Amino acid sequence: MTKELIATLFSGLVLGSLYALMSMGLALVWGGLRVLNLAQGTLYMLGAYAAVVAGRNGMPPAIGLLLAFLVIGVLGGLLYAGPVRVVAARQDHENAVILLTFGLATLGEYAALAVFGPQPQSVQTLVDGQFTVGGVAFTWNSIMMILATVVLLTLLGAAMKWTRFGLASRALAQQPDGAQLVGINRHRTSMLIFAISSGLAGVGGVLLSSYYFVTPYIGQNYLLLALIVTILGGLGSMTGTLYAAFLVGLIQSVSSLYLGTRWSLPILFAVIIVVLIVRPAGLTGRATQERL
Amino acid sequence: MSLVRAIRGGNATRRRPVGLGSTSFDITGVVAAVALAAVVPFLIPSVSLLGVLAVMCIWIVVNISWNVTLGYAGILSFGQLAFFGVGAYTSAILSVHAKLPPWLDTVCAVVAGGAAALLVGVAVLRLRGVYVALVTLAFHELLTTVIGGDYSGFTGGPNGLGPVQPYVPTNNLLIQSALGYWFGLAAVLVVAIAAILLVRSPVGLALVAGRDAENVASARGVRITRYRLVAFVFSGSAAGLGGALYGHYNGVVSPQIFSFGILMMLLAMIIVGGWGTVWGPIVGTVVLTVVVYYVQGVWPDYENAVAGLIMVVAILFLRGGLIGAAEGVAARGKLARLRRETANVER
Repeated sequence: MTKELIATLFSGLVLGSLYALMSMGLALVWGGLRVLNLAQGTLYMLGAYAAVVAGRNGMPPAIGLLLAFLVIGVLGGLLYAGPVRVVAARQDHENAVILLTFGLATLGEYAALAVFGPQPQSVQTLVDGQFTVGGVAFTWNSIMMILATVVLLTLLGAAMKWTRFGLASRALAQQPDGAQLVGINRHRTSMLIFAISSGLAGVGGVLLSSYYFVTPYIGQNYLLLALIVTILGGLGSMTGTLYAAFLVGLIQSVSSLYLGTRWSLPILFAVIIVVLIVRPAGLTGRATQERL
Repeated sequence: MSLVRAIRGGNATRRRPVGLGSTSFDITGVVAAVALAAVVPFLIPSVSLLGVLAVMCIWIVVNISWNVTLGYAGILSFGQLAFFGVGAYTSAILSVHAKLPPWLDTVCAVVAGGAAALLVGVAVLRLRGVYVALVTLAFHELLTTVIGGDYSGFTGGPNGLGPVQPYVPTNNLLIQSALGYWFGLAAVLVVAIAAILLVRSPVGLALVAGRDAENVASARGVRITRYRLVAFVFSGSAAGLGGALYGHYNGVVSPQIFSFGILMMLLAMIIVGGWGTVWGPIVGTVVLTVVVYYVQGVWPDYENAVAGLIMVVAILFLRGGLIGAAEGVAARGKLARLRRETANVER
C-alpha cells in the first residue's frame, strides 16, 4: 500500500511539473500583457510534434528539446507580432483576444491534423533506464522531467528578478503606460514574454511526448488542466501557479488511485468551484497590483 | 428595482440599448422571415437540404441566446455548447431510459440547461470576465471527459445514446425532415422574440450598462451580477431547448457535439454576423451555414477549420460583424441627413 502511495505521489510530482511548465506560460502572458492566451495548449501540442519530427530524423532528444523551445518560441513571438498585437491594442480587447487565440488554437489543431494525421504517435524516452528504491521503480526519464522543470523555472524566476527584461516586464505588468513613459519598449518586451511562454509550452510538449502518446488533440486536455491550475493559483501569480500545478498533479494522481481516473477531473472541478467561491483571487490570494 | 418590475417595465424609462431598429420592427421582421422560411419544404422537397436547414435552425436558437450573454451582457462564456449538451443528454436520457414523451423531456431539458447555467453562473459571475471564460471552458471540457469516459451505458459513452424518438414519428423521410425543420423554425420564432423582448427591456439596458461601464452602473444601483445571472440562465435554457431539438431530430446524442470545431463554428457565426445585435447571430448562422455547406463538398472534415479562419479574419478586420458594418453605413447616412437638416435650418 505504501509502495503504491509513493509511486502515486511520484507520478503526481511528474504531472505537476508538466502542468507547471505549461501554466507558467499562461500566468506570464496574463501577468505581463493582460492577455489570456488560449493557444497555449496548441503550442504545447506543436512542441510535442517537434519532438516527434526530431526523433524521426534521428536527432538526439536534447537537440529536439532545444529545437522545440526555439521553434515554438518564434511561433509565439510571431503570434504576438501579428494578430494578437492588433487586437490587444483595442479598447475592449479582453474578450476579443480570448476569442482570437481560441480561434488560432483550433486552427493550429486542424493544421496538425492535416500534417500529422489523427493517429497517436510515440517518441522514444529522453533518458533510458530506471532504478528501484524500497521496491518502488523510478524511471530516469521522470526524474529528468522534474529536474528539467525545476531548472527551467528557476532560470525564468532568476530572469524575472535580476535581468533588465524581467524588470521591464514586471513594470509592464504593474502599469503599462507608466512603463512606456520611462522608456520601456512595450511591444518588444511583450513579444519576448509571449515568445518565452510559448517556448516553455513547447518544452513542456517535448517532455510530455516522452511520457504519453502524441495526438493533435492533446492540447485541449492540457489547456484544461493549465486553466484549472491558473485559476487555483490566481491569474498572473507565478508562485501561486507553481504551488497550484503540483497540487493539481497530486490531487489528480491520488484521486485516480483511490477513486479511479474517471473521478479526477470532476474532483478538480469541484475544488476550483469551491476555491473560487471562498477565495476568488486564487490560493495565494492577492488581488493587488503586484504581479509576476 | 426588483427583477419582476424590471422585466415588466415598471416605471423605468424605456430606451433602446443598442441597434437602430425598433422592437416592433424587429419582431415583425422575425415573424416575416420565419413565415417565409416555413414555405421552403413545399418549394424544394429535398431531404438533405431540409436536414441542413433543420440543423441551421437549431444553431440559430443556440446562437441567439449565446449572443445575449456574449454580446449584450459582455460575459465571455464558452459554456453554451455545454448547456446545449446538458439539454441534449437530459432529453435523450429521459427519452431512452425513462420513456418519457418527447414534449415532457424537452421541458426537462430546458429546465436542466437553465439549472446548469445557474450553477455555473452563481460560482463565477461575481468574478472578473476572464475567470468566466476559464471556468466555462473547464466546465465544457469536464462534460466532454465525463461523458466520453462513461462506459456504464447510462450516457452511452463515446458511442452516444440512442435511438431518441422524434417528436412526431413517421416513416416518410421527407416528412420527417420537414417536421424537424418546422420544429426548429418554431423554436427560432419563440427564442428570437424572447431574446428581443429581453434585450430591449430594462433588463437588457442594465446588461448593456454593466458591459459598457460596470463601475458607473453599479454606482447607480444596478445589481449587475443579478442581471447577468438572468442573461446566463436565459441563454442556458434556450441552449437546453436547442439540445433537446437536436437530440430528437438527430436520433443519437454523442460526445461529438462537444467538439471544439463545433464550438468554434458557432462562435464564428456570431462574430461574423455581429455580436450585440439582434440580427447578427441569425444572419451569421445563415451565411456560415451556406459557406460550410459548400466547403464540405470541396474539402470534407475541414469545414470547421474554414469557419475558424473566417472568424479570425472577422475579429481582425470586420469589427462588429456584417450587421455592425451595415449599421455603421446606415448610421453614417443618418448622420449626413442630420447635418444637412441642421445646415438647412442655419441657412
